[in-house]
Amino acid sequence: MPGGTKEYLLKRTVISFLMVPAVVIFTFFLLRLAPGDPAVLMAGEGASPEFVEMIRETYGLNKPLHEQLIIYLSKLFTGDLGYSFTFKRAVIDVIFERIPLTLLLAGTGALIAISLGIFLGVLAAIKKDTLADNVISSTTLIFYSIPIFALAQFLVLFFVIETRIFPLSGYVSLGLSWSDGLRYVLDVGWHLALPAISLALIQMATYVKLTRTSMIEALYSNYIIAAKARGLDSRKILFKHALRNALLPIITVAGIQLGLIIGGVVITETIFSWPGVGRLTIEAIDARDYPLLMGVFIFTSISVIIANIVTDIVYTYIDPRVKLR
Amino acid sequence: MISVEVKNGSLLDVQNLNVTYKSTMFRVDAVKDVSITMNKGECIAIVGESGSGKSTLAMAVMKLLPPYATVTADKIMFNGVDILKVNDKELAKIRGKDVTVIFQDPISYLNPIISVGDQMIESLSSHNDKITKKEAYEQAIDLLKKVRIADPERILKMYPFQLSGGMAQRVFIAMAVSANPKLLIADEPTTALDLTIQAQILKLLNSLRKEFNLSIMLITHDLGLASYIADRIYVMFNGKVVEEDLAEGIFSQPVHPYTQMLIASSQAIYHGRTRELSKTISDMGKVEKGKKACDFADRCAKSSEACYNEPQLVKYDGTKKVRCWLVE
Amino acid sequence: MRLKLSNLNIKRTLRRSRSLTLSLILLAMVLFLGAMAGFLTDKDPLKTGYSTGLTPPNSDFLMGTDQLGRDVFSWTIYGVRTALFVSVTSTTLTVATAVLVGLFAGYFGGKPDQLLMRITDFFLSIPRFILIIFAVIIFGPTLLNIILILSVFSWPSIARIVRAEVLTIKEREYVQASRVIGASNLDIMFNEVLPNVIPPMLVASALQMSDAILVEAALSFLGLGDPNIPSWGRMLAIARQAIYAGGWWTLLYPAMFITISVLAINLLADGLNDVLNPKTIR
Repeated sequence: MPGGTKEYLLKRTVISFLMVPAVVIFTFFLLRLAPGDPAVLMAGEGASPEFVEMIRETYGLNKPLHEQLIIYLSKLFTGDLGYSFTFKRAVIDVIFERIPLTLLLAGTGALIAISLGIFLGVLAAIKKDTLADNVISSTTLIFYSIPIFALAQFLVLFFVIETRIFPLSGYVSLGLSWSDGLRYVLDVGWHLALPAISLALIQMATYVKLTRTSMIEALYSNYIIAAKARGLDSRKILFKHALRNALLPIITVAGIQLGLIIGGVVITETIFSWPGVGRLTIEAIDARDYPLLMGVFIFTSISVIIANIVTDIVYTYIDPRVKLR
Repeated sequence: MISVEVKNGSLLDVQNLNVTYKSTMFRVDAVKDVSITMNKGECIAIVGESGSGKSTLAMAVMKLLPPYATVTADKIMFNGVDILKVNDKELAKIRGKDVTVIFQDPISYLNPIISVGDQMIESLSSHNDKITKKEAYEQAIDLLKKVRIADPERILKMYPFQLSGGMAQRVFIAMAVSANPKLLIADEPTTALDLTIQAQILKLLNSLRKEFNLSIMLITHDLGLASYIADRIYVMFNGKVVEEDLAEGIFSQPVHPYTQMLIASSQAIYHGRTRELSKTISDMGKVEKGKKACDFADRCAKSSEACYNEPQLVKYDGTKKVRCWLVE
Repeated sequence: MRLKLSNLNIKRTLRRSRSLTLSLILLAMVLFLGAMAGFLTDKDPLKTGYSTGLTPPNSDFLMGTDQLGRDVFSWTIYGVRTALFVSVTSTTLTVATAVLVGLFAGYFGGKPDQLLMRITDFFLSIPRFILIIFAVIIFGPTLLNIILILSVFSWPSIARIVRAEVLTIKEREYVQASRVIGASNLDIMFNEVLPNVIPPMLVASALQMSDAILVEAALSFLGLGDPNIPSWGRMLAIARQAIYAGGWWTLLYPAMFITISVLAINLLADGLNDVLNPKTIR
């Protein structure tokens, strides 16, 4: 592979990672803009003066601003995101504890959204302008417009309150743990169902719409006409030629979606009391735990940046027009 | 020119073909009541300007038009098969094997994310179940050599966007002749290419024709190209055939004013007689634009009162047919 | 070259795009309800105590009341004004900023352009929603703040679109022609480039409006909205508790209204796209 692509990717990666300090500095100053004494804010309501003073010392809040920034950045490099006074633990520990559950939820939601979305999109494209297409497109449009906190609550109303099929909150029933093996897994799955479906339904709309458009464009392309003229099997034309081309833009969008769905995850975790990083954000907000909040923010930013880089890399390798520039 | 037996329509017989493009925004009658025939081994050219319907005609014959095109005809018979009645599976068997197509701007007609080699192998395998990938690869190399590509192995590894126009067209031609077809439809195969490459491609087509005893339907706007390779020529204007004859007949005795204009224009350009060119560009027909009349009337220098009615295509002098009041 | 409004034939345009027609109908309905709020109800949307507790819809309360006796109908109807106000003002600010910045950056290129690209890259790498939450907490959840914060965090991506359009238009013949005649840069920018940037911007603006409504509602849902204005998001937060006691009406009506509003605007964007780009096979 020619050196051009590797260099390009490297350059992109470096620039992307430079965003992290930029994000940190940005939030840092944003935080300092808050009215009032930051030490008091961080110490929380009803904190003793000694505690406030301790906070001030630990974070060097009495030092000039640029020194504070340097302190924070250097701590960041060692993986020290600060101390959460709500949880009485290091921020980074609190966050890492919650990551697996958020990954489980977001991952499951995305998986369902992408697979169902592509399936329905292809179906709508093949049966363009028929009843099936119109139904799919209209339903998609509605799901695209409904906010997730409304949709999730409808699901709760029907499946939890009215019919009691699914549980409301948490990720596992009381008393169960890993040691219970399959029962545990099934129980978690049972708790996972509704929140994951909520997330999936909202995201799916984007994928259906995109796949449909992308697929239609592919199906009307010249190379498909030529493939037909060569007498190729129609199924082969559909999957090997049209779909493969149609999927390329979807990869890019999937990457972008990862960044956009964070809001959705926060809301879903809140509604279903799913103890992940999203709900942590709200807990941090309610408690005015700024170190924790900043930590969560930086963490999510890094995740988004990494996701974007990965998407870039994947796309570069898959599309020969980009790979062989 | 290869002389042919006039066993009319033994290869292709199209009668009264009509094609209409219809959508919520527009409706175009691209082809109106056109009939063409081809015999085995014969080569015809369909000549016309853009919008004359010539490409649509060629695509319609093999049902390669998009779904918003409505195709009706009294008859479309290819090599004994009734194209109008045949099902998709049967049609797929004929396409690529008995009839193949090459297109204008060949790069856009190849899948951009699959290598040339893979696409050629796919083509070869689709019409020959028993062939192995290795055998197909070897065959592909041979075919590329046959179309005068110097470094076949390198080309097979490439992707379409890396090829030049001429190279891509050769690859296309290689794929087209791979199954030894009876008919090759060439839709403006050289329009998008450089002039020098044009000549090469046409020479190639001609030699392949002799080698494989291939019939060719050439779609072009260039009468010169048509004269190089065609036995018979159909001149189309605005969706209708206005003159059809043996190639010699078209050039030695053009009857329809449009044909005459085409010949005069190309001669004027080729021979530098541009003053004569201006005489041929006539949009000062004596017929009012907009009124129902012969399609060509408002550009025709020889128009008259009679032209307010649409003329029919009638026989004139042996092999020629003309659609013009001047002969009726 | 300018777009002439006289070229638009309204009936034909509507017939061409079902999305546009439908969206305008829906919008008209919603806007009507919002405008007529004063006439349709005499109850203060935020006032509690109209009833003793959760009350299902009846002749007094068309959409029932919540646990604290607030009238859902009144809240829902007045909510139209909130949503509209927030989305229109923030979108106007966003688009105005984006167009100015994108125009200058795209036209002049060089350092300002690079700077703009870096800024947009930055805003694309961060989780916008969390940043908005952050900012709202810091500066306080008032209506004005929310509108400003929304605008600040929305303009970069639109500026990017503007810039891309400007780059294309910059190279077109009529712009070159103007330059040859000796028109000043400012002249060209505002008289030639800007009018042609507007059509693609219309679609982006519509989408921005629907996004604004959703973000504001989400903020209110999380308790970060302005407590002194009736927002659908906040009613939906109240619904979280209410539905357990059987109060489905607190969920249904605001959800319906917000969905229809957002849907209408999305359809508008679709419709505008139909009208402005008729050639694509959709």
